[in-house]
Amino acid sequence: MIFLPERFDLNEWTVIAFFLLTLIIALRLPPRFPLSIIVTMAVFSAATARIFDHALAGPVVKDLYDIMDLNKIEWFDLLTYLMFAPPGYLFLYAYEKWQPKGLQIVAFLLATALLATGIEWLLHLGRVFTHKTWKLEYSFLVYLFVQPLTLRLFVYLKRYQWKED
Amino acid sequence: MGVVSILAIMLLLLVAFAVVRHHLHPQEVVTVWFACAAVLATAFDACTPRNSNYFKLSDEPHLFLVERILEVVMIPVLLLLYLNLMLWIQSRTGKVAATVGCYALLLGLEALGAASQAFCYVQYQRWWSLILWAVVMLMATAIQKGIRGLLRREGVTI
Repeated sequence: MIFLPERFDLNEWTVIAFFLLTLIIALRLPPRFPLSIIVTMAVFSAATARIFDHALAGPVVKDLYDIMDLNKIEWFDLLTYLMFAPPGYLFLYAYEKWQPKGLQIVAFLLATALLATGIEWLLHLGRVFTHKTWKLEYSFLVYLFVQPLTLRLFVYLKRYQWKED
Repeated sequence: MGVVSILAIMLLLLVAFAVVRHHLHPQEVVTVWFACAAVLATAFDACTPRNSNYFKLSDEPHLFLVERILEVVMIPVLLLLYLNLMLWIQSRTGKVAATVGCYALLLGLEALGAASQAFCYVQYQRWWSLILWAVVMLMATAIQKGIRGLLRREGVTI
C-alpha cells in the first residue's frame, strides 16, 4: 500500500515547484540529443535515486533520513525520485554544451556536485528531506559518485549510436 | 544453503548475460534494467511492515543484501535474458516455451528468496505472485518495445 500525504503543505509544494521549474527549463532548451537517449537517461537518473535510497534503508544503517511527511512510502516520495530526471537532463545538457576536456571534467563534476548538494539543502529547508543521522556532506559524496557514472553511461550510449549510424 | 544458491545463480545469470549474443540495444538494456529495479524496489518497500504487512524482510545484514540483490540484479538480468531470447527465437512454440520458462524461474527465484529467509510472508497470498510476475514480464516487454520503437523512429538500425 502506498499512502497519500498526511497534509498537503510546504514539502509537497516544494516538490511540485522544483519538478515543474526544472521540467520547464529542460523543455525550453533547444533539443541536443535524441528522445531515446533522453528517456534512457531520465529512467537512469530517477531509478538510481530510488535504488540508492532503497539500498540505504536497511538493518545495517538505520534511520538516516525521512522523505516527505511519513517514514513510509507515499505517492509524493515517488515524485521526489521522478524529480531527479529533469536535473539529470540539465546536467547532461550542460556537459554537451560546454564539452569539458581533461581536468575541466573534474572541475565540471565538482561544480555540479556542489550545485546538487546546494539544491538538496534547499529541498531540506523545504522539508522534502528530513536528515536524521545523514549529513549533507554524504550527499556530496553520493553526487560525486553518481554524476561521473551518469556521464560515462551517456558518453557510451551516444558513441554507440554514432557507431551504429 | 539458500544464500549460497542465490549468489551462485546471480553469478551464473551475470555470466550468461555477458556471454550471450546480444540482440538488445544497450539503451534497451539500461532502460529495462533500471526501470525494473526501481519498480521492484518500490513494490517490495510498499509490501513491508512500514506500509503494509504483506511480508517482512530479514534483519540479518547478509540476508538483507540477498533480498536487495534479488530485486536490483537477479530479476532484471533474468528479464533481460528473456527479452534477448525472445528476439532470437523465431518460432511461436519457442517463444511460448521461453515465456513459460522465464515465468517459472521468476517464481523459483521468489521461492528461493523465501527459503533463504531473506524475507518471510506475513499477509501475502502466494497466488498473488502468479499475477505479479506476469505483470513484471509484461512491463519489461512493453519498456523494451517502447525503446526499440523510439530507436527505429530515430533511424537506428538494430
